[in-house]
Amino acid sequence: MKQKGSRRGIIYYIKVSLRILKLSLSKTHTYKAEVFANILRSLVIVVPQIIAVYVLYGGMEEYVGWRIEETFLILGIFNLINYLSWSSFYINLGRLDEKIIKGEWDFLMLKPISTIFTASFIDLFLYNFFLAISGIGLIVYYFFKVSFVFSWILLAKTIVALSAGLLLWYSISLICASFSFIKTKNGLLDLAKSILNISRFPIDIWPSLIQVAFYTIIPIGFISTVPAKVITGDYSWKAVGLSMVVSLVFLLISKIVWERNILKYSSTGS
Amino acid sequence: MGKNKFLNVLKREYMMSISYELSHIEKFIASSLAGIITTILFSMLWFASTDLGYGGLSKEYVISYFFLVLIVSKLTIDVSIKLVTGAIVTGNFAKYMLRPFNYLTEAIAANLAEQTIQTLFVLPVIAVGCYFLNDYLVYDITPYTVFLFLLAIGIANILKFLMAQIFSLIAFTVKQIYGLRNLHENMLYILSGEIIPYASLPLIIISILELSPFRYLLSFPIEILIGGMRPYDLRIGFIISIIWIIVLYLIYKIGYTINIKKYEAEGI
Repeated sequence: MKQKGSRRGIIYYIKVSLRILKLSLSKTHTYKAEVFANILRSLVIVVPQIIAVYVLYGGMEEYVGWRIEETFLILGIFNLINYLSWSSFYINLGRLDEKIIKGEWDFLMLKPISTIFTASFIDLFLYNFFLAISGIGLIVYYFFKVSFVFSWILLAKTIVALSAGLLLWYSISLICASFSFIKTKNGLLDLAKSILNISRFPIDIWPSLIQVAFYTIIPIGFISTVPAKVITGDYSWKAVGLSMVVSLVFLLISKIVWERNILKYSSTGS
Repeated sequence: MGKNKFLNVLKREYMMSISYELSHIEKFIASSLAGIITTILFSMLWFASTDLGYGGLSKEYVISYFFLVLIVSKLTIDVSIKLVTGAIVTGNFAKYMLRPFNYLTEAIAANLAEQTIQTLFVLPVIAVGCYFLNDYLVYDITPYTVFLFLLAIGIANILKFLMAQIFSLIAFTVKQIYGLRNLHENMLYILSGEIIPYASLPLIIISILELSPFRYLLSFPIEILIGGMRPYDLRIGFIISIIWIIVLYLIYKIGYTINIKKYEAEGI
């Protein structure tokens, strides 16, 4: 089945995205308590993370081969990607269940945009972006701690590696969310979330066999550990390229899984 | 409401909550697995730190601690916060005002049902873990410590429930509650010792947390079963937690009386 809206060009989707952004900005203005809660939450999240890392190191220089500032870098990358996903697609995908059960999805399928876009980006939750700032703060902290010299190459590598991580996060979430068309309230997205949360810390804490799995079957190592290694200069362009390839492969898989699962949608919720 | 009526209503609501959970078995299994994965993640994190050799936590302590986290977190799980805030925000809370029993009965039953099936689900995991990690598990198990452990679990449940109900009162004023509820859950999760064992923290932070109600939500029952607590520490622990129950109950009663007057059963 050819998806409606799949023939629309990129310019059309940019226009739609800008319209959604505008509406979301006015919503953010309305929900002031939510904005305030998230500013507070960013502190509640980041302060214990910092304490936990200091306690873990216990004055030692290295922990599973990572210096303390590098662990902060991983945490920063994780927070940034995690909360960017919460600002954009993650809540939308989480609400897919509800839309199917209430029959709202039938109406959404009639919209002249692709179903993947509708399910992922129909709304933006900009107040969650305040939580992503905690990630940016930790990344900036890393740059202050090391004698950092700016280079355009490093900036490009960082942006590509972070984009690959975000793309991977999106692909895994999309795959899990698509199973709502087969069975609503399946809990797969919750499970995916806890697996993705593993990337909060260096993958090196796990036994070597599990590490292999985290770079192949469930490649969460590419979400924060690889981007952190790229920023610290341990990994070259090859790793950046590999990250992008893995992410694009997962994006393709997620599209295929979505299109297969949506065919099983029976509209019985409505 | 008489004691018998309360128990009858509680039993009915409990059975209904159990059947609701079992009717969404896939979601239940996935969310239970998610909790187990999270506990394993943090135990691995602390386990890896034991190789650093700076005199921090021992391997035995980390494994024993997170084993108990797995079970205590299930025994004290609270779902009443979602139930009550959801009902207030959507306007459904009005139905509780017409019913011949207090809404808290349904909230308690929902909690008990969730705790029962979550604990039953985690038991096989615990059994397999015990078999493979037996050498690492060091507990002070005597009838006395088990009794104190169960008592501390009961107190933890009451404290968590009261904190959830106090938080739920915010929904009478603030309708977009999602971020605030996450903030509340994050705070309990972090400060109760679910991801950072109290034993690893600096003394100054422990001293502050010992006076707060957070320690008694999870860490205190675990500390009892791990052993090494002086009778004085046990006494003080129980006294502080009971004082918190009284304080939180009073805050809830006053808060509820004020907020219910403002309630207009509006829904969003």
